[in-house]
Amino acid sequence: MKDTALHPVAEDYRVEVARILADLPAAEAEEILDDVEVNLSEVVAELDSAVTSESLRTRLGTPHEYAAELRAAAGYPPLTPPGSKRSARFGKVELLCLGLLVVLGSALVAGFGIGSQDDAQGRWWIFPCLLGLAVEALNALWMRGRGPGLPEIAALSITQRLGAYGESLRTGRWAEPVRFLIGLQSAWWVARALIVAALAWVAAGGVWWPVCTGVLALAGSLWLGPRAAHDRRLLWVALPVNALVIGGAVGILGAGQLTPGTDSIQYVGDTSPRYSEYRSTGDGHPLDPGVLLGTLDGQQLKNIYPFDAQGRPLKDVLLFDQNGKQLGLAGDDYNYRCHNAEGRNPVPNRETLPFPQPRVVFEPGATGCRVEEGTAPFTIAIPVRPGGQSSANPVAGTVPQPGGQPPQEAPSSAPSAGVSAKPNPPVNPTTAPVPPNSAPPASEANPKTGQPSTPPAQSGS
Amino acid sequence: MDPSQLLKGVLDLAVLAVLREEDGYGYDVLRRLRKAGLDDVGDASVYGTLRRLYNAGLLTSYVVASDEGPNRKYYALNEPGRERFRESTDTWNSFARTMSELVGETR
Repeated sequence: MKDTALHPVAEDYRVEVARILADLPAAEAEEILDDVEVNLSEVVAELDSAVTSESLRTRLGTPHEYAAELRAAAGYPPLTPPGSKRSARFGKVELLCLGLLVVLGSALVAGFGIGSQDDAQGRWWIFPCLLGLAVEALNALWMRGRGPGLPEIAALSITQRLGAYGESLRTGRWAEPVRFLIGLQSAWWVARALIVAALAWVAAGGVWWPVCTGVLALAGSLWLGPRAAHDRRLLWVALPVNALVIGGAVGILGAGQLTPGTDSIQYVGDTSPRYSEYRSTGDGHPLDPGVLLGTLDGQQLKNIYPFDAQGRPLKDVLLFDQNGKQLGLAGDDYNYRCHNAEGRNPVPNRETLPFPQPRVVFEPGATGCRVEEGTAPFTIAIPVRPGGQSSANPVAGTVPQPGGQPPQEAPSSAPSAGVSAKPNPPVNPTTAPVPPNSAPPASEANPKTGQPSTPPAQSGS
Repeated sequence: MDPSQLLKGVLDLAVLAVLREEDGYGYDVLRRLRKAGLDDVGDASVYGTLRRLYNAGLLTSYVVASDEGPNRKYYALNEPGRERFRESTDTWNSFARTMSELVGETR
């Protein structure tokens, strides 16, 4: 074994020679450098204590001469002059490697995107996919007409260093575990096909897509695996595939994907994916399960009380988003948690109900629930907007609703006019609506528009 | 006349001849060539020649551990190598005869 280290002077010599042979195919350079090492150690043994850089050069010539002689005798292509080498410093070969890096990165990102996507809108991973495919096409163009060994790539110093490192791993102290891992290679070929199937499931849902994709992926993976080891060109396919699969696995695990894409529901705010399928198949209501209101400011959104501009409460209001999809409320209480003895739903699924939705008092043990009309348990003060400057948020006066959180602003901060402590009498439109915040002086110019702000139409004074 | 120039053309044959007697590693081949009188043969030339003959399929190689230093890679003649040796020997003999006659004539 190589327990006898080369004399430092000889090692320097060897490194110099290796540099000049760096353009050779890695395997060939390795072989010939082994010979050079033996040669050097023999010469060192001959020279014995007289080993110096000079004596070595007297005996063998300069490293450059030695390498040139070696190349000539071995029939390697003659050393290219340094000038032409520099000009070709960043040629196709380097671009090919750069392309591989770009493809690897985009595959990793795309895989993560597919794996972690939670709805149809989140298909941003298409962009890294397209980027990767485009660069891969360029790579394929450059790869045309090159041999399976890719000697140009193998000649790169980085490739040689990687190769030497891999070799030292295989033969070094960790040879046993490394060889064990190499033995798991075929298991990985199967595993990555399974991950691809899982990605298809996340992306498309259903059964056929994942199964077909998985079978195709398995066939491709088993075809690709053994070939990539010999045809280095296939590394430009195999490595991105692995990156995609690893990114996808990380994405799936990281996002905790348990439900395939088509059945998942996007919640506003809080999510409870456990109930997603439950709800979307609940009672065939027309509500698009993709649009469910969940929480507001971290608190469970229990109801919505619409009022008109005069502060009059509205009934039977349906809300729609910008896509024309109906908004509903998502909560943990499916059908208000009300199921009677027959198992029928005593009240409709609250997601379908217009706003304000009825309050249902859940009576444990009883058959059914008591439904109370959905009226706001408070009245509101409509704010006056001087120049559109003050807050547009109506302020709830009192909230006697059980379980409801008190508003952040104390009721005393709101003007008493227009606020009633009694539950839900309509606000008299003639009573002066007062801004919740102190209105700015009438003479003050509106800082937004630069125009003098008009005094409130109905001043309380 | 520079012997190293002459050597270039016949180094293949010289190396094949040395290996025909006995398998050898690079430095061993070198030593045997020098012992036979080819003093000017360069280390790198011998190692390079061995690699080229090996890559041409005329030699086989095997590695033997050495106590003194790095593993020694032994080279051995295979059947194509022996065939090449016979051809080269014929070529050399006729060439040497021609040259001898030529040189003898002019002397």
